[in-house]
Amino acid sequence: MNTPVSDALGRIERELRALWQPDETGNTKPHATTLNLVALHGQDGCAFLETLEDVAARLGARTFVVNVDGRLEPWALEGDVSAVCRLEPGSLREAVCAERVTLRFGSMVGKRAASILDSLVESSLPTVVFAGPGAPASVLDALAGAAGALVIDSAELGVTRAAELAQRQSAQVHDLAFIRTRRWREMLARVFDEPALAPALGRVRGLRVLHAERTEHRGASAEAELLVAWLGARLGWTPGLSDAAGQAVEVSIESQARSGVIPGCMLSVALTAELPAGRLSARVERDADGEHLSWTVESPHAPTQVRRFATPRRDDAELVERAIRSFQADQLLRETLAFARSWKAHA
Amino acid sequence: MTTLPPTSNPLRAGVLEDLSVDPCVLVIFGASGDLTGRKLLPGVYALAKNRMLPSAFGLVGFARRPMTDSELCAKMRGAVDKYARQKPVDDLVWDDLARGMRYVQGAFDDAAAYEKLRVTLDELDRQRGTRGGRTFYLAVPPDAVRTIVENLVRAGLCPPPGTGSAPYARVIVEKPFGVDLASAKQLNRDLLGLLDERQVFRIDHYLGKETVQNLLVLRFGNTIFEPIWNRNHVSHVELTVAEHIGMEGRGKFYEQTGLMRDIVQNHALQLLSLVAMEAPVAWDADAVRDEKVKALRALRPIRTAEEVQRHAVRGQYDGGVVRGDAVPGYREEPDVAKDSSVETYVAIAARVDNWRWADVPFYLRAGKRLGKRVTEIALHFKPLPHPLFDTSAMSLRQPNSLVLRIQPDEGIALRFASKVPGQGVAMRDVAMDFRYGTAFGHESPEAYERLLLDAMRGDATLFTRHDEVEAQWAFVDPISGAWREDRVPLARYPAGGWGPAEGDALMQGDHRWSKP
Ligand SMILES: NC(=O)c1ccc[n+]([C@@H]2O[C@H](COP(=O)([O-])OP(=O)(O)OC[C@H]3O[C@@H](n4cnc5c(N)ncnc54)[C@H](OP(=O)(O)O)[C@@H]3O)[C@@H](O)[C@H]2O)c1
Repeated sequence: MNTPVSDALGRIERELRALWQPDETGNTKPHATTLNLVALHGQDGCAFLETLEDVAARLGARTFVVNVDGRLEPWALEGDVSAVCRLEPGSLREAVCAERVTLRFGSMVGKRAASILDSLVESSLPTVVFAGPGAPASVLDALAGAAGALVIDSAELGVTRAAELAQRQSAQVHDLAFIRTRRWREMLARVFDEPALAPALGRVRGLRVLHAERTEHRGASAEAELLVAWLGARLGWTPGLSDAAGQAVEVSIESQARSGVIPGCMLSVALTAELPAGRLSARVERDADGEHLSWTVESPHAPTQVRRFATPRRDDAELVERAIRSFQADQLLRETLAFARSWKAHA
Repeated sequence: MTTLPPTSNPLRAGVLEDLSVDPCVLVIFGASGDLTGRKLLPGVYALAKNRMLPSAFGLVGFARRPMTDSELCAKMRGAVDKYARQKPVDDLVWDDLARGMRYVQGAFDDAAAYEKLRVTLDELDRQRGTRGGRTFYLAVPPDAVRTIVENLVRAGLCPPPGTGSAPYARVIVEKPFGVDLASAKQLNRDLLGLLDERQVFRIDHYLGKETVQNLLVLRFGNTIFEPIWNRNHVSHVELTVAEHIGMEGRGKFYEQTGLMRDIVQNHALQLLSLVAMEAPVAWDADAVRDEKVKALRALRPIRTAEEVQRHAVRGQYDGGVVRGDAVPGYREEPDVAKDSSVETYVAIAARVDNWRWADVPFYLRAGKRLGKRVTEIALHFKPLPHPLFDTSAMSLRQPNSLVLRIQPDEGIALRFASKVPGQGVAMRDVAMDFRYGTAFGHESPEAYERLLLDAMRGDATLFTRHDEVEAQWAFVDPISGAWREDRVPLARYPAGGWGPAEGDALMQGDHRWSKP
């Protein structure tokens, strides 16, 4: 006997197959699919959907937009199939199209999300699960297990939950919040490229991170926490924040109201450390224009160095695309999340 | 102060991701020239825009005319506005690049100018943290190469690897690399008397193209192609490097060069060696180039006038119609002699004498003012041993070919026979077509971007090694020689076609040039 779910699924499958049939003039749309992108979101996913559209177009993905809708019957499954086409630059010709399937699950159906998606994904291609704001936890857990890669944002999930997910999944994990700290990590790393300053890495005494105030969420920003955790993990600090020699590292994370900067984004990092010949102090700061970072290093070994770098505007679609395309091992993120988790548990 | 490789810094692990270029100053000799404006600066900008450059990066232009730093910046900005792949130009990215841009004025043989260059480089090291990393790009006429390298070495700016305080100094040399075997050998001797081979990056921009690299991935990153990539299955290989444009003001250059030196010796033979080579033992510069050189050395020499006559054709275009426009013949082009016998078309039936390719003809054709701009490699597979179905159409008797399109529309197409839907068993050939742009939704980076990046990273895999250049010249030299002595006639072809009939006559049996 057919259930409402299997009926709905059958219809969606038929629509998917029909999508690339020739039209009345015998033309088919040019189409390409390079991966399955399963995006999960809560009710308020407007900005997220825009980002997703952008990502899907850049990647040529068969996209599934999934949410659980409390207003539906518990066993209802609703779905739409459409072709999303990118136009050739400067013309109205369709350059290439890909499938988009929107799925709305009743509360009970959500639990079977993995099995439903299993029959709709292009099975020869990798599947990436992208957790958007308000992604229902149970569905995320169910889908993450079956994915080849998982894209999360600990700014949405919280660092502890992100760490749990990463620990549980064998899939590649990418964290947008961590990716957003890349420029800052790079700037800090630069300080110690100078061989005379490298010994200071073992004697960091203070770390002060400032981020733009968040109105909706309480607590520190995920980006700030991840930056601290990254340093801790890389430099072998204990969860109680002492260095390998047992000396305490003074860490503070503070926030400040700042217009023009996305809440939670980093504003500055200041690091102090000891060198045999004196003190090293390094500071990376977002300029008032929000578009540059200043990098300042003072040490007994050279005159004070100051540099400014352009920092690209935040573009979430690009971050996701880069995450999905990167074939880099996610070891660094896993290490960082694991440190963050034990550090927060300790605190 | 000595410098450590960045990887010894534990904070660098994983942070470098795609920023794997060590701190570096790129010095461009010939900074006011055409190549710099059209290709190099747009390439550098694209790398910066896509965050592939290290934050410690500087750029020094060197040329003869007087200019200030800010005039150089303005000139370069103009060029990038015009030629950048991603427009409009991002001011933030540009401003950061421009802050690290300097100009050094001088003649290539003026020792004092190299002193100025050294001071500028030291200053940049202090201001930009570039820490002594140097890449010298010689975008200059070939006769200036030796002078520049001599002066760089004399000024201590280009120490061999492992000596001196600089972490690395590399030199990128543009084509043409010599004009024949003797001059290429001399240039190699000159360069390698002053530098280590690991410091020399001879550019052939074809190798920077995505599809050229993908040819290697297709062959050696898949299991299904390699078993059939040999004489047991391939009947013949076709290589086409066609352009529809004529001289475009380069008549004078062409009169001295000709198509053999301009395209065949480098680009076409690069493609041939990539198709013909054996699997390298590793994906590294020497392993890959060892195999390419072996393939080039296996090319059967075409030496005597009689062999040249039989296996090679040179042609020159007459007036004709190209893409709907009437165009003049080569001899009517500006700066071209009215009785010029310079070739604008070359076709060669080559053989690769080794176990893999014995008896498989490699047909190679290249020309100006052909039907359209296309570069592609086609592997034609052997005909069916015994036809079961109606194969009266020629294409169905030999149904399979694999076409690798290098430009435009980089992609790969596999042609095979398929049943026409219906009651009977009618066959038609169909193509499975894969285009990079469509499948990956991304524009492929320009060849120069990739090559600049590789040179700055010190990866020479996609650059030509000294013995490779010499093997290329060794193959084309005797053919050019016979032509120069006019011992073989010059065929004529109308602009806009696919070359002279003599080119078709090179093909053996029922082989035909396919229409790209
Ligand atoms: N253009 C292309 O698309 C292209 C493509 C492939 C390969 N190439 C190769 O790249 C090289 C450069 O080509 P190009 O078209 O850029 O040449 P170009 O436009 O003639 O530029 C030559 C440059 O060299 C400088 N120069 C020449 N003689 C000099 C001297 N004695 N002292 C100091 N500077 C001197 C010139 O400076 P001033 O103008 O200030 O005197 C100018 O900046 C050539 O080997 C060419 O074969 C070019």
